[in-house]
Amino acid sequence: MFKFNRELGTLLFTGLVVGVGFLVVTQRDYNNNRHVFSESLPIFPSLTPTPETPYPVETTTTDAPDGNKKLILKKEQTKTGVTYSFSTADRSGANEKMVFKKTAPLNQVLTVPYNTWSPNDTYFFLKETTPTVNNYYVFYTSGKSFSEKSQFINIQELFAQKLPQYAIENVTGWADQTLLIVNTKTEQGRQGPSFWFDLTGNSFLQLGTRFN
Amino acid sequence: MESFQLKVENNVLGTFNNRPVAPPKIALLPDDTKPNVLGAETSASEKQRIYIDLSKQMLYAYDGDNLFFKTYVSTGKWFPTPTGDFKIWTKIRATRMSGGSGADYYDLPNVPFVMFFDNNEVAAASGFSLHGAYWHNNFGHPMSHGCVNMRTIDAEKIYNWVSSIGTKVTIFGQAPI
Repeated sequence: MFKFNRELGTLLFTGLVVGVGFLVVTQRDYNNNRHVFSESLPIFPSLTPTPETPYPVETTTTDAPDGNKKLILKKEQTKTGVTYSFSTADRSGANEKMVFKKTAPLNQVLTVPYNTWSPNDTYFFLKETTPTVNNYYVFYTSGKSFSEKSQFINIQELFAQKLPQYAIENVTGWADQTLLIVNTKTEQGRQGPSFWFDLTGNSFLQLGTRFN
Repeated sequence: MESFQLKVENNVLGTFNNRPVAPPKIALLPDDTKPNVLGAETSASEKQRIYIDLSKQMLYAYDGDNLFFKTYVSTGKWFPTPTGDFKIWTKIRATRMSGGSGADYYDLPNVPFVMFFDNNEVAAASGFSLHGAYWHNNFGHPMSHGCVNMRTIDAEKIYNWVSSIGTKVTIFGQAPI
């Protein structure tokens, strides 16, 4: 019995030493591993996709003087510039028709002048400001083209070809259903005469009085 | 020469800048035919006040201290718009206006939402008024023969807002002509 107990005690003691030693070693390795692991933990992307923030669309409308039509401008900033969409619609918003769309760099701005509408709602004009020159484009409200080559008339381009001694200062509005009022300046920067731009013949008529 | 009477002439061509112009057709409502001349001033008309700044070509309509509406106008280019304090003496839904001579001749049927004004120095017979203008769209710039032109939608708004005869109109500044 005693011999049995001694052997059993030795066996238990040995097992205890081995067990404690194992625990010490594994705990040290665990600590070491944890330390190393935490420093080299790779960063995984979140499993939930982050949606791209959409660019806001800014919408403005300009009523025709008689209230029967409206010109709708939708402006959306993109990575490369601004996309301008121009459409026309009835007073109620019905029959909306896309007329013109353009993406321009940030230093080129398209605007709707206050007097954009022709008095009988047949045309509208836009202003494009660029670092070098201001363009004025005339469109049919219906969206139809002025010619096979172009949907719109660029007044600035025509004026520069026909009257290079003057530069367009501004286009203020409509003198009647087909006449746009064009104010000019001279090459020296002085005030120039006013003209009527006649859409029916793409001609410029110099006026005796200035339309300020 | 202005007509101070209601006059609607659909399907008649007008003239402006020596060029033909087609007036908008007008369908009269029952209220449009009611006489609206020389009514007594009311407390509402006492509060209403219209200011026209010729230098800015802007109209401001106030109800007491509150700005009811503002918009661009076109005042006299071929004949100056008078300055001073006036009162609206009649409102007419539409009438015919003609005048000028040579290249400036005009004859315009169906001039909409007309509000004639006068004072002791500028007689009613002079024919100055606020009204809609369908023959041009150059507001914010002088473009009239002395009247105060507005977009038709703006003239309608002011016409319906002016509650009675006697509303004060003050015109000031120097037009950029």
